Amino acid sequence: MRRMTKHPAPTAHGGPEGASLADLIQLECLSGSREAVLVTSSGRQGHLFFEGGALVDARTRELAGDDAAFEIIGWKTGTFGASDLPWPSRHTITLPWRELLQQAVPGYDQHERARSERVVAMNTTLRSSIPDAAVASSPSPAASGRRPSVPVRARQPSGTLPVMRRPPTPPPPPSSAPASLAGAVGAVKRAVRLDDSDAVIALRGDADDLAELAPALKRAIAQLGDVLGLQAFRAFECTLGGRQLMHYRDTAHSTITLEAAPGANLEAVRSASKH
Amino acid sequence: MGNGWSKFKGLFWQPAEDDDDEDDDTNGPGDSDSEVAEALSALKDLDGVVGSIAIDASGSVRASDLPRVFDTASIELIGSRMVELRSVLAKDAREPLSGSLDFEGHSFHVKSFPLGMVGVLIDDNAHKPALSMALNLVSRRVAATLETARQGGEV
Repeated sequence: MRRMTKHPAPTAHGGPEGASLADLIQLECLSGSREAVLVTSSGRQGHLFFEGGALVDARTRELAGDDAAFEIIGWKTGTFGASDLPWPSRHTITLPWRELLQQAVPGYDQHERARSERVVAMNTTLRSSIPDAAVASSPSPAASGRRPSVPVRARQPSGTLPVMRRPPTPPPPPSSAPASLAGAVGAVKRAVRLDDSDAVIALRGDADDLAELAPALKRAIAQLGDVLGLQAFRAFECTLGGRQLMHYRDTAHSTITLEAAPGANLEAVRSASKH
Repeated sequence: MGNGWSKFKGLFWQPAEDDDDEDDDTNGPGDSDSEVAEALSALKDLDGVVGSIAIDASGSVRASDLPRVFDTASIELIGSRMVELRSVLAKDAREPLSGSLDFEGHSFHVKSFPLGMVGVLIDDNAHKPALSMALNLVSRRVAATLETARQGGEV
């Protein structure tokens, strides 16, 4: 997969090294979120509008619709931010997002499509609907003038968008999908996803504190598990001081740490973590 | 839960004013550890419990009921790791923490109180609601024992 930024570069959004625009489009579409994203690259600006599991509009200074989408997707480096353009009055994108990516991204091949299908399946149990959603909903620290205290790969904007979103037309859930998913989604107050090197991949909600806690928690859990001779970590869950925290392995290369409302039913998250 | 239930009934912590046998004053150093060990042993009555450990606030092991595959050094290290986990999560050690680490095949449940922590290693056969209840009771008992020892100058 082509990377949005192959080499870290200082940007207004904290240097999103390695973040993929294709990933962004895929996650936004799979999460079904309604979001307007500003993509900035070498002085150029593009706006992508997502709604109901689709890319519905794209605009650059000169182009609109499919042409603008191809133009933006073709940018090799850049940053993501929240777009402040008004929501489009009509949908200008005619191609499904997968087709757009397949046509626009040479690396978006069979492997990527297979990966997408896996993400679709997992989306119904948790992922893109809660923390996985690289569809973080708090303004980026950099954008708000604060420097992130943890390495940041990619942060995504929001500001004006609903914190908890659920696809209006979600893909059919697998038979094992927990019925309490909606409750779990609503229960998550903030979340952070880390990669193996403890870089933040995505944030949800006001999760800067959580982003600082997560690496230390990850290490402490690993050390305790190690001395107990335990292998194949699944999840850590705890309550303290009225907080309900959960940390679990999300993929082979990422973990999620989240805080839920006290007493929230996280069965859906537990179920997802066991897959 | 079988025969273990009667044992757990004894783990309900009685208020101090009900403890009129004055045993507290006659406890010598180390007695509290044997009481803690006794409390831990009750956990073994639950199916799926592999072993348990109780530590004080500094991470020193007060009693352990873990299998012999865990040598003394390992058990001490487990105590240290438990404290580290708690300190990562809560700057104030008095803040009660209740948590579980879930691994394939086994999980480790911890419960903290101001003067220490109890950890229980279980396998997948354990009935978690029963374990949770038992851990609450055992932790309460251990906390009371450590508090008594502290007041007696033992801790």
